[in-house]
Amino acid sequence: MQIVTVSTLSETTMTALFQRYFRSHTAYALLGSTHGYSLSELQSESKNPPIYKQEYAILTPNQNIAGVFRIDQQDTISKSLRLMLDISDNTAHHILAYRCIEEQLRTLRENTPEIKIYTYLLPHEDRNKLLLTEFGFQREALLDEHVFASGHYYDLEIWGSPRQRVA
Amino acid sequence: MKGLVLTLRKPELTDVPIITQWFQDPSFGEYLFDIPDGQHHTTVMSLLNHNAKDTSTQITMIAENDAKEPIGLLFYKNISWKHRNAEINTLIGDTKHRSGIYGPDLYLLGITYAFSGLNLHKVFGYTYMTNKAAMTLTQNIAKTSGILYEHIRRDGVYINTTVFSILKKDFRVFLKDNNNPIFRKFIKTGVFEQLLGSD
Repeated sequence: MQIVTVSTLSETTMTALFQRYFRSHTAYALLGSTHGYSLSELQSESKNPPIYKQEYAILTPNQNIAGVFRIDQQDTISKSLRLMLDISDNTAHHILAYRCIEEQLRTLRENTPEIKIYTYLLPHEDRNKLLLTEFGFQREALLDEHVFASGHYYDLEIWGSPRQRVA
Repeated sequence: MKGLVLTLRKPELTDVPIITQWFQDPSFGEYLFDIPDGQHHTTVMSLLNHNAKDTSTQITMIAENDAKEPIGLLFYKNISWKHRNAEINTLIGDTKHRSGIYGPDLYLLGITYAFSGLNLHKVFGYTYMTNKAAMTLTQNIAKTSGILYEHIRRDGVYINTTVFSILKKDFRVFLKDNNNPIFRKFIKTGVFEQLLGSD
């Protein structure tokens, strides 16, 4: 297993990543833009970067993409971050993703006391919900008919982590 | 667009002093955006400049009464044209106007304009649970979608925030089925005519 920042991916892997977004029906892919975070969007972001953004790809030993996740600023007033994730349905990939995301969240919480992390999921993303529950997240809101894709409106769930109290 | 007593229009440079005065009110920071001391005028200018140049993701409008007196602001933020939704916020500027008809009038105008002017499918918003007046207003008209626990820190304490939303189709049902005399007055103004007549 290997975790790398998306910007350092090879062109071939990057192309595979964008093809994956195009087919994906996760909140990560549908909320980012028309079909996930396109290459031009990433280039645009590199010129005008958000205050905080980390985007990682999780690669298997043979360099296949097990998943991708992104942590960026939710908003400027609530001291919170947004975690977006798109993990392949493969069980082994989920185990890899769990380890990678757990490590990143632990680092974030150690470096940023009292941080709250939000994530957005579509109702059918059951595996991601299980994964987030393991990290202490819970569903806090259900936004009905919030996302439009393939001619339909989909509900969107807001999941939040508890704020970590400083001892 | 005109409601029962308020009319919406785009804010102009001549509105800067009054909006700055509203932003300096402590309750504005408490319930909406916390602006650092001394930054109010700059924030207003930035808001108006953005509104003049780019309305693709946020739109600000001002509401005035029949005497052309500015009464409040309407904000649409995080507009998504693909998903056809936007976050809505309203503000009644002067404290003395907050308990009357202006609040509901501006809120209904905001929702109506979102659906019949901007052709959105849905509006949503966030209300701090300490803001009792806004909670009452939103709960009467919109649907509560959930609670963001300890979402924001005010005066050293984290407070919960209610997420609310309303779909265009649900708002039309609300308008048709509501027998509250005040709402019937709103309907008689004709402001909802386009909305109620559309498919």
